[in-house]
Amino acid sequence: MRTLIQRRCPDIMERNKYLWEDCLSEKKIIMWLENFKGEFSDESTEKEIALDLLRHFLYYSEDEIRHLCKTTLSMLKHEKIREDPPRYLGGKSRLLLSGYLQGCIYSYIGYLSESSSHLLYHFRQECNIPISQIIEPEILSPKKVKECLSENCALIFLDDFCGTGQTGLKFWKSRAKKIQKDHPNTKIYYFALVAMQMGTSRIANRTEFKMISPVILKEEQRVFSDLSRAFPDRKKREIAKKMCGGYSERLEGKDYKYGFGNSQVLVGFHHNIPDNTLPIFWSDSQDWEPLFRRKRKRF
Amino acid sequence: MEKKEDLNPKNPFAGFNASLMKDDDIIRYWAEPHLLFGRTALGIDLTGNIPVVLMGGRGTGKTMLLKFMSNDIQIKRYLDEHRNGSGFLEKLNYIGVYHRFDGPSLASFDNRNVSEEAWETIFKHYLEVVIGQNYISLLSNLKQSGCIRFPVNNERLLVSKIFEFVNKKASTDPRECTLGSLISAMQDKLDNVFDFINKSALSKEAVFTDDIITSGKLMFGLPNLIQQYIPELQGKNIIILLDEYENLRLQQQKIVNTLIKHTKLPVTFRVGTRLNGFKTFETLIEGEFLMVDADYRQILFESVLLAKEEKYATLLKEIAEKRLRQVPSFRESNLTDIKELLGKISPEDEALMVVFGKKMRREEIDKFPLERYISEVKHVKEMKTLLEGRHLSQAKELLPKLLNPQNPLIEMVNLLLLRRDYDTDEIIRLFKAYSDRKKDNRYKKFRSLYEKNKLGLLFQLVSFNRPTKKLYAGFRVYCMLSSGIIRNFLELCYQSFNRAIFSDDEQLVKRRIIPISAQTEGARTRAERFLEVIDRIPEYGTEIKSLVRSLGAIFYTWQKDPRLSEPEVTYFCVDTTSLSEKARKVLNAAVKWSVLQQKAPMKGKDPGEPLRDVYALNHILAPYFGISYRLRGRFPTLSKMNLETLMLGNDAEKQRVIKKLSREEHFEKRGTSLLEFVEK
Repeated sequence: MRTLIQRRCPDIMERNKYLWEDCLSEKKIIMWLENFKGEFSDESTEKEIALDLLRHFLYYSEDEIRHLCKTTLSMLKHEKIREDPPRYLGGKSRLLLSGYLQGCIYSYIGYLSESSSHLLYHFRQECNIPISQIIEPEILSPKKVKECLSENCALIFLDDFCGTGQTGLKFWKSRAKKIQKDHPNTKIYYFALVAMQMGTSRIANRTEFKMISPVILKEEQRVFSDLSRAFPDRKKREIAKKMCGGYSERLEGKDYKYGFGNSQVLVGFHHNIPDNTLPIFWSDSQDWEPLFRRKRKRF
Repeated sequence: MEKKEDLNPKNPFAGFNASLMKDDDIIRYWAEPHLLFGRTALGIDLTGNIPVVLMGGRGTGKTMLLKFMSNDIQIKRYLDEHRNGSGFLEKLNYIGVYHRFDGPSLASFDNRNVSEEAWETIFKHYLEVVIGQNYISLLSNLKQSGCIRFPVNNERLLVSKIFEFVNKKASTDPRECTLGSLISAMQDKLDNVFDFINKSALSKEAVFTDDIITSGKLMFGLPNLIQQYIPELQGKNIIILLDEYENLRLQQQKIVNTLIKHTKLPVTFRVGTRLNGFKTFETLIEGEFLMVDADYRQILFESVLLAKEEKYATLLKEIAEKRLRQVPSFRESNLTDIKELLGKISPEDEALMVVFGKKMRREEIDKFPLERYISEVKHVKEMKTLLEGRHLSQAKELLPKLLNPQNPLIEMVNLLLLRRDYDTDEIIRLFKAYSDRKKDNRYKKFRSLYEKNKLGLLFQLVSFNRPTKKLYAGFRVYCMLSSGIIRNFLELCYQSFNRAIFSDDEQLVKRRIIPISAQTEGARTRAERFLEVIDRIPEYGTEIKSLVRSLGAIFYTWQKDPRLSEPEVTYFCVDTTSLSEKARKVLNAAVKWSVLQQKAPMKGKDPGEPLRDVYALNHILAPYFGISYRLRGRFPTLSKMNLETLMLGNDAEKQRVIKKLSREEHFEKRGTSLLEFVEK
């Protein structure tokens, strides 16, 4: 098995060491590969496919998450510059832009204990946001917005991942829409550090959120799409799809056959792994040994 | 009155920096590097659609090449050969616009008052304006030289369209709707940028008032518009020739990388940069990188030029010839062949000069008394000592059987075999087979030993005969010393011509050769100057110099290894992944400034060892250290600790490592004087 890892992914341990915060060990990879017992193809093919998938896995370490937070804010600043170049390109641009960022309200999409709330810490550090500007969505009423929001500033909701866009849509309907109605001139941003193209399109078409996302996963990054970068060869792609679908459905049910909402992505964060990622990576049902354990939500 | 040409010899190699050359000089001195242009078979087309990054050390000829591809030079060149510009565009499949990134002005796009994002926007705008202005200058150039002819209305229409493009209203006065007015408008935009840069550094009240041009709007949009109005330009690539990319700051490189990655035909790029000039391969799009072969092709100047030794020599010869032709005294005397002027000195001839102290004819050597030869010639004395150690009584009889005063290097092979503990009779048999040209296995073995080691043995012979120094002369040797860097060759020629002209300019023309001594001195001076400037490298100059001095000292001892286990050691291997970040940065800077040259990674000597990165000392330094100018022997892999000590350690630590890595016997013999290179 060790030889297989070295042959198929000679760089995997290097990447693990330098990019993935050393969260994997060779033993862990071997244990994960042991899950594939040849139920949908022959065993060695299954293991090779698993390693191919691992090679295309996108892992965002804590450092990278911090970097993405910074980039997201930088994109917002660019948007401000585009809106009003004479104001924001002048000698006071640094001052004005940081004033703008400090006047916005920051909240998150989801619940306090969820990963999106965790991001606020990084945002606060990156742009020196006063704690008074960070407000939990639960208590974010139109009245509260009026109290806290500085003139011409925006309301910003954070999320780590936007997959199908379903969470964003729900959140829009349940909370943000009302605020927008009471504050029609206030811009409401949806920041997702990583987003899928289909999610961003849905959000753009069905809400008034202004979406900012530094990483947009395109069709090529969906592992079983015709444009798949992981499996450009159709035959191999079909075998992989059958295998992943088979194991994943057994582990997490039909809805998660190719990751939630048929997302087919391979993404993980330092703090958690989205359910849009193929379950063979994160599921711990039925004695399956996951590579990156997903911390499940309990409602 | 006609101006009389000055017939005194002048140094034809003065002035070798293309960025300081006038257009006419570039045309005059241009020699087409077929090695670079003839790479279409490898998918690299200097005039084709795919962007190309030209990477090379200082003075490899990047600027010359990029400037030569620019429309200014191409049009001028065409007009030199034709009466007017008609037909010019039919001949070319591309039009080049040249821009050099100037370090100081790029650095000015930064001050504490203005946010990074604002600078990014302003830099993008600046780049659009600069390239836009270049496009318009190109049109003006084509028009003035008669390469294109505008129907009057077309020019006005195009100009007003371009004005719209740059968010400006064209004047209603047709006299002001000209390319000239467009160039001035673009200049105003540039002035606005620099005005803001200056003001914002001093005051927070500074405001950027000009309309921002979004990234790519002019760069990719204007060529399409121009091609609509000028049918002669249709189907031609517009090549943006960007020089000195390494001067861009990190964020600025991301902007240019994004443009290269998302280039839109007919626009494509040629980018000139130092080795390791990429501070980042990232683009402005998160997670997206500029990837070699996928987004651009890469040409490493030195590797391409050095890969075909013959073609490189021909290119250097052509370049030198163009320069020699410019000096009347050389032209008149038909002295334009640098190969002839530098001549050739074989290792065998040099060996004779080392042993006898002067050039000797065959007959003179034959007449040289054998006893005197045995008692005076130092390497023969050592052979005698070794033989006496083995066969005390027969040594006197055996020694003449190993001698060949006509070629001391052959004697050096015999000495080497004695040092390697070969049986004396076997050495005599091998030598005899070689002398008799028997073409048997012994002949082959001796010949192989001789051919592989003769230069290494020449270095040893020189060391037997100190204070005699190794010669660095001849066209071939100069080619090798230049290490694939054309400017090195030109500077070597410059130094040797200076000496020859200074000592006796008439003799130079009469004898038609630059004396070997002048060439060697020239090479030494060039090496000294090269070493001197290492200190001035802005990043890690001191560390690089420390490393280079130490390596020079170590390599010097290795070529004196009595058993010559690795002849002509001039490079080292290291596992760069194990190095500290600082050490890696020092190595990268050394490569960027061509002090070290990175070669293809090599396998370790044991089969299981991973690939090691290989770094060679630039051969131009060889005369300074008295070492070889070829890539031959392999130095054992340098450990992280040893390499980092040589770069970053204090004097005592460095000396300890040098002593450890040197060939012990030699170190002991020479004692502390070995460290003269390090202490200088």
